[in-house]
Amino acid sequence: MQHPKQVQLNDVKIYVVSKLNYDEFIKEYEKKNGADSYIALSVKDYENLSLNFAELRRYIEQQKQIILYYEKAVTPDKEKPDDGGSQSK
Amino acid sequence: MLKIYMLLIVLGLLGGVGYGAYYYYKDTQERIGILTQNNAKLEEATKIQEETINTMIEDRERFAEINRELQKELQTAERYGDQLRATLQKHNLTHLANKKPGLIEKRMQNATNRLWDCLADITDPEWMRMAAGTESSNCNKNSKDGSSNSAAPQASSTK
Repeated sequence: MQHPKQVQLNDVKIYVVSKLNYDEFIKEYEKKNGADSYIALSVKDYENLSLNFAELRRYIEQQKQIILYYEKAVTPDKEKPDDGGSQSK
Repeated sequence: MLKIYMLLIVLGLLGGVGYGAYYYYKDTQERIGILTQNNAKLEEATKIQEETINTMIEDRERFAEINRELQKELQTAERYGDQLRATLQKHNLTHLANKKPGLIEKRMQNATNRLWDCLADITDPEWMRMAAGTESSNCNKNSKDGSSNSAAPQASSTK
């Protein structure tokens, strides 16, 4: 069975803005994106987003391990001879 | 005349005994043959049963082993989230972002990029086929160099 193809994720640019760099951010952002509208996340929400991704990563990894487990379980032992003859041990 | 009768009777008796012996011999040989065949069949059946039992024992050991591996890997998969939670609890990100937005931005960006790379690695079909226990360098980079293995910025000494 063929596994699904690898995920291809797009880059995401993160801006961390406080009073210290707000003006600089506005200038740079407008220059780069040609608009001054943006979607903002609070630090807490960013943390939650990180934790959500961590959960998704955990889920993917555990699913993968379970798939590997079943693949191993159904694959015949390579060390064992097929005809039940003398074992090479 | 009597002698002739006696002789016939003796010959008849001897013939009867001889035939009986021959019949007994033949019957016994047939029985021995059948029993030998049955014995061979039983030996074969016993051998097959022993092989089946051995195979089942080997399978049980193999399944126990891959079960242990699975449990270990499932535990390992929890590590990233645990590390992330610990990092987020340890450091006041709001405070750090207020004081050093440039530094935190860089670290957030690096950690996020690494997370994307890690997600790409763990969904790579070729990487999936690799031996269990191997970890992508993008997934364990931070845990090796002691910094946070998360999309959250690494802990800074400046609080």
